[in-house]
Amino acid sequence: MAGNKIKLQSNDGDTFDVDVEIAKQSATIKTMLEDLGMSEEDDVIPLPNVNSAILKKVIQWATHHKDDPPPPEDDENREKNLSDISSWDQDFLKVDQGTLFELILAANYLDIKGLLDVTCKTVANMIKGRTPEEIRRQFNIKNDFTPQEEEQIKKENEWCEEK
Amino acid sequence: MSKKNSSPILGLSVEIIYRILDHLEVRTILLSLRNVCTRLNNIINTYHRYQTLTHVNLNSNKIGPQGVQYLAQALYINQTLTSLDLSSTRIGSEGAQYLAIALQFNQKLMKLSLAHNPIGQSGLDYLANALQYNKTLIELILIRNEMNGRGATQLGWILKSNNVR
Repeated sequence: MAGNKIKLQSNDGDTFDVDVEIAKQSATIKTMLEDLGMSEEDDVIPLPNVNSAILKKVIQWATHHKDDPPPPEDDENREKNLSDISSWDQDFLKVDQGTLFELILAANYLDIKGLLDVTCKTVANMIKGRTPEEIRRQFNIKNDFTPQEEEQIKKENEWCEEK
Repeated sequence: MSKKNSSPILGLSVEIIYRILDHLEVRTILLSLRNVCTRLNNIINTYHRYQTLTHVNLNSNKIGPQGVQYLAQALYINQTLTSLDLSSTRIGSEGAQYLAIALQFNQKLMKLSLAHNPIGQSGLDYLANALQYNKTLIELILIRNEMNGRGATQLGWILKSNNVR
């Protein structure tokens, strides 16, 4: 079995040869191979939601983590304190924000739980200890409250200024 | 269109944003993520940990007046929280002002502890005023808050006119 490869094709047409066992960290690909009976030899698996740069990163991540124990299924534990990120992953995720969010989308689409967890954790760490205004700056979010809502906040503040 | 957000984080699905929230403490969600923008507010409103949030203990966190302002803005429309412990959080009289505004509108909070916060006489004034409008708070803990004799008398008056004990 060892050494079996499959071809993954990004949405810009590049194909990547990947060990089946590495590719199967993606539950989406695993399902395609096992349930849909795609043959591993000749077929190319198209991944229309992932571009080459991101797919390359995902494969790099999956290769490094190929011997990890499978992540626990139990979703109840999702909110436990998991802020620890391995130093390899920290280095791996030193990327611009656009890439980070594309990795999240790819991990979600490919259903790679470990990668989705670590990327979401990274975003969570960017939020911790910041004020709403700092978060707007950090993520380039516009303050889009309606004039009425703004007015309401202002009114509340006026009330306390009067006192 | 100029109001549209182009931030990539807002392009994420609700499910993914929930996953990010899973990695944050409720405290951070209340203090940092509330009131960033309408989309995040809407998502947080439907987030299960926020919806089922009934007790928050921030005892001894250095929240300060600024932090409590964000908290108060969340509290203002919050429909779940019944107990909030802000003991020793350095909110000051300014923080008491923000809370007082929220308390006028909040209809859920039953227990609030502000022990060991020097809110002073002015802070107490704001709270006393707000409690005339609040009908749900049944326990307000004020110990070591640097109030004077007048404050104590005033508190007695609130206790009589309200159901706070």
